[in-house]
Amino acid sequence: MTIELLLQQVLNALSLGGTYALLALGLAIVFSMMGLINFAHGEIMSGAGYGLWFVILVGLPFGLGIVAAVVTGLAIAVAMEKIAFRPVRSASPAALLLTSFAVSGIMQVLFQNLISPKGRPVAVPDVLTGSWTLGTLHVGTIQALSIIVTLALLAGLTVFFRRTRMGIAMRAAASDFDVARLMGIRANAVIAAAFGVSGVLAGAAATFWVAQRGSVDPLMGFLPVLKAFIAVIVGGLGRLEGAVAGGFLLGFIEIGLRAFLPDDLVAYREALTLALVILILVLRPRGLMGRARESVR
Amino acid sequence: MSALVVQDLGVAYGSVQAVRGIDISVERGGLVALLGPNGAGKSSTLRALMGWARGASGRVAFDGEDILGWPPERIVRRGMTMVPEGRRVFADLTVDENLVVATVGRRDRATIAADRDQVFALFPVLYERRGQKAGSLSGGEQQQLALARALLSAARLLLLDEPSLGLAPKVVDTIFERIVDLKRRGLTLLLVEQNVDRALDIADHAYVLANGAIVMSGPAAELRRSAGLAQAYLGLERESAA
Repeated sequence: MTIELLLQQVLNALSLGGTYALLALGLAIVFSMMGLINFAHGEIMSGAGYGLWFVILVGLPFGLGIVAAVVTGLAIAVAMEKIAFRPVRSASPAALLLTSFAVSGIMQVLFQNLISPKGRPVAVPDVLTGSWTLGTLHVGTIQALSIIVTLALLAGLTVFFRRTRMGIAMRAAASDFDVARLMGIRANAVIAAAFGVSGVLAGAAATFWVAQRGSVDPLMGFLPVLKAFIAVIVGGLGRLEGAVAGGFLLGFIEIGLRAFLPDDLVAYREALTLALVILILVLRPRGLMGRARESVR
Repeated sequence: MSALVVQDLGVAYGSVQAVRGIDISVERGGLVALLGPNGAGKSSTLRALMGWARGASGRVAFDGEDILGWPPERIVRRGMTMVPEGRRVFADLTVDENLVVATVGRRDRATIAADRDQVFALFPVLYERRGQKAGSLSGGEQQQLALARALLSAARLLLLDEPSLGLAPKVVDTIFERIVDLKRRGLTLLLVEQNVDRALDIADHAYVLANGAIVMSGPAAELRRSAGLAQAYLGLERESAA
């Protein structure tokens, strides 16, 4: 194996893992605030994909499509919180979980009936489908952009969470929601903000996903968000840094197995990925960055 | 003038009645202790006042406004907050960040910096540790941070839930000194404590709660002298343990 090939795989892993990380971070932010594992997160991503599709369909430039994807992700996430989750916020975690299944199912049916059960093609401009050549290394433009944008988003969020009052308030709410309210933090505002951030991240992830596959379908969000769930658990449920680390780790495991497994074992790639995940959880039951919960409630 | 008037407050968890129709009144600038054995309903009372307990009934007036059923953040923005049992500082946030969070509900942004300086003057150890994660502080330091946080939220009335819990006696001294400081600064305080002697030392007035009802009340000095208190208290302790 040449060093170039290795670097190539590292870029592939960064790109895939980055997308998982964005989705996982969105899931983790919402989970940390309200204990909700939002199974409808995939539909936020699909919806954002349709936002991109629609803008291209009516003949507007791809750049506007990216904006549309992010705005659609934001709008769907915030509306979802307000319409579906706010009324049941104080219900049991099981009720919240069931609500998210219902929202997910309803949105899939809406996408199928109002748009199409089949995939809708999204024309990706040539500028993006090309690749750059760095020495002997070929880097896909979309891939490079996804890595750069993911890192920029993560850096931006880090600044937001460390430096702004709203960001610090959100971290406080993530670590102890009831006490955050004792500090005067409005439950509605901070949860809406958490959904908003998760929607923006899902919108960005949807853009990379659609640009690489060239189409959108009603079930598009399912697989990547399933991977993001795994990333959240591996990273340590409730830890935002953990979700990001888990996303990248999963990306590296998947790409690593795809690249280095002998041909007759490649079919078992997914199973081996999950086996590795289980091994990590056996060794670290609370995930990579997880910690024992405080005993005092 | 009463800052807080509680009338016929009841708290029910399902079919379990934790608090059965109690009346409490806290004068503005006063320090009132709410005493009683484990499970008497002290914490349930505070939680109900703060909007933390569902199933609360009765009437709670803070500065004349009926606040029962309000969400906690609305009560806090009106000027009453709680230092919860077990301190519950935001462990992953630095001391400074914990204090920033406390000011999120405030509208008077301009005065925050000055208030922060005052808080650091009152709790110098927090200034030394301001860049450290709150989770790395000792129990006593965390309790001071919890007090500082409540103070910086610009509350006029503080509910303190077991501030001495789990702290060494020397540290408890410091915490109680700070509580007296807060009273001197004009804050109104309602203190829930298991440590009866210390609470009566600093309180003006006290209520003794047992099995969800008030069994004794009066000026702290009187309660401390009354031979009845220890007896009633111990008797109740035995009864509630049985």
